Amino acid sequence: MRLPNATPRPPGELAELERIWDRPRGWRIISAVNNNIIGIFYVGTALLFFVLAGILALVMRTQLAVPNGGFVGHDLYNQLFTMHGTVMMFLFAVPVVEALGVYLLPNLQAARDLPFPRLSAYAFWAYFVGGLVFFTSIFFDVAPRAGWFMYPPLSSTEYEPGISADFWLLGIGFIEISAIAGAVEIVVGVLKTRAPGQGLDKLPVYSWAMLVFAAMIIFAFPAVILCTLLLELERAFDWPFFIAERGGDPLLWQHLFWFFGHPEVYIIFLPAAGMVSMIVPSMAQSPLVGYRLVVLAILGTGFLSFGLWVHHMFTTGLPELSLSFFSAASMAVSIPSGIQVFAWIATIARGKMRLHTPALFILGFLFIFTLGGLTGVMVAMMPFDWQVHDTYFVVAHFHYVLIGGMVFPLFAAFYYWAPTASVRMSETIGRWVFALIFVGVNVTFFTMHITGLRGMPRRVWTYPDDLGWNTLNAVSTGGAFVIAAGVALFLFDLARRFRPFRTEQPGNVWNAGTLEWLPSGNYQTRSVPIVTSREPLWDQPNLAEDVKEGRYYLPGAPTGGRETIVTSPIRAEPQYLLRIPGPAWSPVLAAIFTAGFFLLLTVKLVPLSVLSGVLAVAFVLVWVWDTDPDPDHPPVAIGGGIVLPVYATGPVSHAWWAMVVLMLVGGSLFACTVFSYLFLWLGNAEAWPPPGAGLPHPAWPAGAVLLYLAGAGAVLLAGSFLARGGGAGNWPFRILLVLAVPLLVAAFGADLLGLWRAGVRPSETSYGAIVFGFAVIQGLYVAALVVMAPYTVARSFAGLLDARRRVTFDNTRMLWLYAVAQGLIALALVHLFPRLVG
Amino acid sequence: MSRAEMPAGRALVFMAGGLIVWACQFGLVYAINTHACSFGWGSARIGGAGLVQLLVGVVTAVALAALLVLFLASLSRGEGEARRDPAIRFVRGMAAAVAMFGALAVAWTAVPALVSMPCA
Repeated sequence: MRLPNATPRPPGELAELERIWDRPRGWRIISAVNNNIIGIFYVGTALLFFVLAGILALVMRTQLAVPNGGFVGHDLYNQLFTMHGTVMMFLFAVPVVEALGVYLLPNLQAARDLPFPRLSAYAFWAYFVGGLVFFTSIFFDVAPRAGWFMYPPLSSTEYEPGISADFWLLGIGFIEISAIAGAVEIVVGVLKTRAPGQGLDKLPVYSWAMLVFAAMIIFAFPAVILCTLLLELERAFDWPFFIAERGGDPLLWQHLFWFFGHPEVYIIFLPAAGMVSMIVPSMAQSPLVGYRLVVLAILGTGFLSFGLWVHHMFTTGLPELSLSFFSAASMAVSIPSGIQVFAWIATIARGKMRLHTPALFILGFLFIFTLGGLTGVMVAMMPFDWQVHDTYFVVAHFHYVLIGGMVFPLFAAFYYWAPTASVRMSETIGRWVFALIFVGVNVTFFTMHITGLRGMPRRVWTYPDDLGWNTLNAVSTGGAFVIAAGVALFLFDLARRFRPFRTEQPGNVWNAGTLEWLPSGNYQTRSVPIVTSREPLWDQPNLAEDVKEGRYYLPGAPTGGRETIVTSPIRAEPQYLLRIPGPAWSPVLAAIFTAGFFLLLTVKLVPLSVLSGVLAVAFVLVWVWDTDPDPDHPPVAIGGGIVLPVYATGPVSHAWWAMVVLMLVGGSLFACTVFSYLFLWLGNAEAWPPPGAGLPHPAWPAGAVLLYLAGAGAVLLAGSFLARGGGAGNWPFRILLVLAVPLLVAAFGADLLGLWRAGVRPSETSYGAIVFGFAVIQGLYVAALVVMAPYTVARSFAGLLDARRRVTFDNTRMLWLYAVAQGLIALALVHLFPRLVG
Repeated sequence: MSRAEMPAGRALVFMAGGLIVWACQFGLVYAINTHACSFGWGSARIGGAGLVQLLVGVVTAVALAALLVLFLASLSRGEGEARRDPAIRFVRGMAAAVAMFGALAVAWTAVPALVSMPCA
C-alpha cells in the first residue's frame, strides 16, 4: 500500500510538533489540558478516593468484628456507611471509568486529543476540588447519614435537620456536572475523532462500551440531578415533593433515584467490560470471538438496564403486574452479560492465554462477577428478594457485582496499560496483589451471603452476641484487611515504579493489536494511520514504524497549533481539521468556582456562593472566547492528496454534536420532570389543582406562548441577517438578538405571574411544588440564554462572529429553540392537562 | 470525503431501533398498568378479556410489528458503494440483530404483564 506521506520528513517538523504539544512545566502543569496528563490526574484522584472510601470500610468492619463493638458510635457509623457508598459510587467508580476513557480513547483511535480538552480539564478539576472538600465533611461530623441513596423522609428536614443531607444533595452537584461534561466529550470523541478508516465495524470494543456508557450517563444522570434538586428545594424552601401530608410522595424519590441508580451499575460495568474485551485478546494473542455479538450485548445491556429500576423497590407495595415485568427485565439483562462472558471464554479457549498479572485479574473478574450475576438473578425473583431485602445477602451480592465487575477489570487495566504511561509494573508484586485481593474479596463477601441469610440487616452499627453472627462477622472483617493488604501492596508498587509524563516508553510489551500501543508522545502518534482492521498492529506490518516516521496523515502541525482530524461517524472518512485549544487556567478556575458555588451553598453562605457561581460563569466565558478560531485559514494538506478545511459548522462539526448531546441531557431532565408531575397527579388526581390553587386565566399562558414564539422568531431572523454578512447585517442581527432576551424573560415571567395570581404556592401542596419545579428547570435555560445572547453579541462587536464564523451563534440558537420548545410543552402540561382531565 | 455516508444520527438511531421500540413498549406497559391501578380499571373487562391485558397485548403487537418493519428495512442492502462499504453493512447487520433482540425483549417482558393480575 502506498502511504500518504513520503519520507524523510522535512527537518524541524517533529521538533515543531513536540513544541506545540509540550506540557506546561513545574506547577504550571495544573493548566495542562492534554488527555494523557488530565487522564492520569483523573485516574490518580479516583484511586485516592478508592483508598479513602476503603479506609471507611475498614473502620466499619473493625466495629462489626465483634458483637456489641464500641470502636465507633452509631452516629459516626451512619456517616461512615453513607460516605463509603457515596464516595465509592460517585467519587470513585464513575470518575475512574470516565478518567480511563479520557486517557485511552485518543490513543485507541489515534486522535491527537479529545475534541474538547478544556472540558476534560474542567470536569477533572471540578471533581478534584469538590470531591476533596466533600470528603472532609466526615471530619467535622457533618457528613450525610441517610445512606448513599438518601431516601426521604429519612433525609427530609424533619429527620435530618442539619446541613449533612445538604452536603450530599449539593455536594454531589459538581460530580453530576463533571460526569455529564465527560459524557459530552466521550460521545463526540468516539464518533468524530477516529483514525481514517476506523469505521464503526472496526471500532475497538472499548470505544463502543464508552459510547454506550456516555449515552447512559446522558439519559440516567438527569434523573438523579432532578431528584437531588427537588429534595434540596424541599429542604431549603419547604416545597413538599416528598411530604405525604401535603400531597407529596417519598416513592417519587425512589423512582427517580433508581432510574439513575440501576443503570449506574451498568454505567460502571460496561466500560470495565470494554477493558476486558481489549485485554483478553491481547493476553490470549487471538482476536475477540464474536465481535458483533459483543457490540450487540453492550447495546442490549445499555438499554435493558433502564428497565430494571423497580427491582430495587420490590418491597414497596407496587402492583403485582409492575413487579412481574420488572422482574422479567431483571432476568433478561443477564443474557447480554452472559454473551460477553462466553465471548471472553471462547477467546481464551481459542488463543493461548499468557497468565500475566492482567490475565489473573481477568480470570478473577470472570469468577467473581459470574457469582455476583447469579445472586443477581436470585434477587430478581420477587419471593426471594422479599426475604433477603435489606440484609447482608444484598450487600454481598452487590459487592460481588461491583468489585468483580469493575474493580478487578480496573486492576487488570492498570497493570495492562501502565506501560503506555510509564513502565510495566512488577509481575511478582502484581501476582501477590491479585492473590490478596481475590482471597480477601471472597472471604469478606462470600461469608456475607450466609450472614444475610441468617437475618443480619444492613446498616446496623452493632449486634448482640447471641444471634449466631459473631464468627461470620469476624471472618468478613479479616477478609477486609486482606483486601487492604493487597491494595497497600499495589500502592507500594505504584509509588516505586510508576513515573508518568516520561518520554521513553517500553513499547508494545504485550504484543497487542490495537492503536494505543503505537509509539507516541504528548501529541499521541507522530502521524495518524489508516486503519484497515480491528487489530491493525497485528494485520498491518510495519505500521508502528511508518507511523513513527510520519508516513501517514498529518505528520506535522500545518496550522501551527494543536490539531486533530475530524472524521465522519460511520465510515471514519476525514472531514476537517479541528484546531484544539491548548493549556489554560480558565477551565481550572471555572471548575474551582463551580465546586465553590455548590459547597458554599451547602453551608448557607449564599452571597459567597452566588459570587462563586458568577465567577465560574465568567471563567467559562473566558475559556470559550478563543475556541471558535478564524475560518479564513486556507485548507491544509494532510497527505495522500487529502486537503481538509480547518473550520466547519452545522451537522458536520463537533460543536453541533456536542450541542445535540447537551440537549439530550436537557430533554432527559425535562422528561423526568414530566414523569414527576404525572406521578404526583396520579396520587392526587381528585384535586389537581387542589382547592385554593386555581388555574390561571388562559390569557396568561397564551401570552407566554406568544412571547416565547416572538423571541424565537427574533433569533431566527437574527440568524438570517447574520447569514447576509457584512456591515449591513450586523446591526439588525445584534438588535434582534438583544431584543429576544426580554421576550424570553417576559414569557417566563408571564407564566410565573399567572400562576402566582391564581393562588398557586409552591410550599402549600405538591401540585404547587411541581408546577414551580417546571419553572425552576425552565429558569435554568432562561438564565443560560440571558448570558449566552449578550456573549454572542459581544463576539459580533469584537469581530469574532460573522456569516462564516458563526458556531457561537448556531449554538445559542439551538439552545434557544430547545428552551422555547420545552417551555411550550411545560405550558401545555401545566395549563391544558388539568383542564382536559379535570 | 464523504461519498456514500449514511446520515450519522439516523444511522445510529436505526441501529439501536429495536431496543428503542422495546423501551417504548416497556414504558407504555408500565404507564397502562400504573394508570389502571390508580383509577380502578384493573378489574375492568371488555368482551371477556381484561382491559389491562388487552391494552398490553395491543401495545405489544404494535411493537412487534414495528420491529418486523425495522428488521425488513435492515435487510435492504442499499445501492452502489453503500452496498459494499463494510461500515454501512455493519450498521445494517447490527440493526437487524438489534431488532431481533428487541423482539425477544418485548416478548419476554410482555408475557408476565399478560398473565399477571394487574393490581393484586
